[in-house]
Amino acid sequence: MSTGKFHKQYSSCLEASRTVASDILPFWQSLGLDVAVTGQMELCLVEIVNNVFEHAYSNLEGAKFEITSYLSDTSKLVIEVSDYGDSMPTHILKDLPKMDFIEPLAADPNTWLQSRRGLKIIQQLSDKIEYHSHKSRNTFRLLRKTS
Amino acid sequence: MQFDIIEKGQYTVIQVREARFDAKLAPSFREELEKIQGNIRDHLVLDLGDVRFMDSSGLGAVMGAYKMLRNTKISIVNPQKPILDLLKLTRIDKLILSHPTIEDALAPTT
Repeated sequence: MSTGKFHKQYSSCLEASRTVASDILPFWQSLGLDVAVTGQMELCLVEIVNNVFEHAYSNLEGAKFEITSYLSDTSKLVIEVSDYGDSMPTHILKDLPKMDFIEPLAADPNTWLQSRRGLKIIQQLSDKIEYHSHKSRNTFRLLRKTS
Repeated sequence: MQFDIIEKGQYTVIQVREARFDAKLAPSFREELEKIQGNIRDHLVLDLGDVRFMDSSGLGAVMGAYKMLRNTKISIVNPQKPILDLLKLTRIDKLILSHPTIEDALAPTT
């Protein structure tokens, strides 16, 4: 079982989330994590990386972002995604626990949403999420208990 | 080939031949759907058997299909567990039903 740390820098693009997932899954497997946990964390990480490309960098290709992941206290998986783009407004994460997924109803086209599910998915599948901006560097930090 | 299209009787099947239904694949799915929109039968069946990973962009593409084909019944067939879990988590399973096989999706509801 690995006890190391994953750290890698990437360039923003639409495919970046696939590259990140392909890089980090073997590391998580080396930590001995359950496949159900790694599957859910892969989804969370992909959502964060897509948000970095779409929102922090407004779909600009080639901008730098970094991924760090490690086990804390042997039973908590930490994932950090840092970018240097536009910061996420602070109220978004603060309001997230109060919101729920909107159930799509056949009779109400206003509920047929095609977006705005990513952050709620991350919040639902994580034990703790944090977001910090410091000196033009934004970091999304996610923690998930592994046992 | 990312998608196979089968038209049969009153239904059209789109088989997604990719392991990841994500932000990269979603635009191609929408384009494919727009191309065949006029030929889609009464019931559109999305066969996701090959899809091992789906994100919110993939969900958005499925909801986009629902929106585009307002009077067409849409079903998902053969979804892997992570996809089923995601549909349930986001409550999309209430609107678009999943079935183990195409035959189950086409069976008359009682």
